[in-house]
Amino acid sequence: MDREEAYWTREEQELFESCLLDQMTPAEKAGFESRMASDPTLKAKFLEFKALFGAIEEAGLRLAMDHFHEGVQDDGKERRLSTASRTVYRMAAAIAVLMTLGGIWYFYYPNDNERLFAAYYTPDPGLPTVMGNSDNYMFYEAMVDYKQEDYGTALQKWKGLLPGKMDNDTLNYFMGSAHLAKGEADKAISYFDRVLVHDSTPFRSEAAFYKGLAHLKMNEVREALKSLEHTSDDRARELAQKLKD
Amino acid sequence: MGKTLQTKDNPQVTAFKKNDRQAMQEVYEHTFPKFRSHVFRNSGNEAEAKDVFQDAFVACWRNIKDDKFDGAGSVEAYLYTIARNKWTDHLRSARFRKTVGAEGLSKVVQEAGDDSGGELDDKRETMLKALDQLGDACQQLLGLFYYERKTMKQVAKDLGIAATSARNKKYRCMERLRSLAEHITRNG
Repeated sequence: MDREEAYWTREEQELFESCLLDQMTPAEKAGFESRMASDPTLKAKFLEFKALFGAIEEAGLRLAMDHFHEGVQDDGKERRLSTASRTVYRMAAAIAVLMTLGGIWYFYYPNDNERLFAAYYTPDPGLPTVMGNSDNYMFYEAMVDYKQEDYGTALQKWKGLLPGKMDNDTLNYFMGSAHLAKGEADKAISYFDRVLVHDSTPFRSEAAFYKGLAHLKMNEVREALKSLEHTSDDRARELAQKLKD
Repeated sequence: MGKTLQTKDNPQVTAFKKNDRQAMQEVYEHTFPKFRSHVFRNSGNEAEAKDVFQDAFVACWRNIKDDKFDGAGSVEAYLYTIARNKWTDHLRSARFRKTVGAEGLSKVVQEAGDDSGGELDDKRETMLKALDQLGDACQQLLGLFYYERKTMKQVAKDLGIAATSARNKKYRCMERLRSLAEHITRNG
């Protein structure tokens, strides 16, 4: 039997929501609870309202969580932007402190290349890992370290695998990535070079991009441009244009 | 003198109860990377880590609201425990095939029949379905008022309508939501 009329009165809705939104005084709450104890219909109505209220809240939370997740995602663009803006804020804060202190007359300005590097560089997020009964166990164990930004440990483990796999593009690519993340641009370049000898490697474009960034970090603009030309990435094209400008 | 921190004294608990966005975001951002490492170590990938963690976050948030968390420890530790248990359940319920590709890239292929996403109980699922069928305008209004905890005046301002009109709409939207839920319960 479908009801034409409303299930709750307005007063009931307001009463229920003031309970659920924690807007009742302890005395009001006690009174409300005792009313419910003696009135099963009111209690049933409240429980129904509460269930719907919970669903509305949960839907809101699920929506909000997608925003929360952006803060931890390894996704390139957003991270890159936030890294850049963090750098700007850090610089602004540093300048403010120096001006407040007065008397300190010289301070550090990163040069253009360093600024560009900071704006375009975020470490490669790494591969999904599976720790099954695989010959690649050590590789993926190191990948976990890499993803936790423990690049030194990852490199140590990967180095142990290198003797039999000098020409493995995956291994060389991530060793290069780990060195670059550690700030060791020169070492990174040598590993990226080993990737780039493979014409059909899926890491080709990324290796060229990161190699370009490594050269940029070392203030080698001409070499950076040369490397960036070998990538199909929009970011690389944009960066190359800025370097030419 | 008591050593046990009571629920009401724990500011994180209070913040969760009020759906405080900033506090919840901090807990999320602080706990997820640790959980993700656990998942990576235990046959999982990024997408699975996210799904399971978000279910755990909802469970944690609900337990806090229902006073099932005593507030004695940090919400992060509590959330992490829930998430880890959920991951264990996920591994038990899912059947995995692990393959290593020719390039040394691993893939986890989940076989059909995995029901790891179906953790909502029937009633909650019905309510969420009903909400989904509610019009956008009602969803927005109810979300602003009940989830974001805005005052009726703020909600009215956000929606560009008068406060009285917003109040009437809210009342009607709740009734509509209830009848949708009832309809789904009856007809599936």
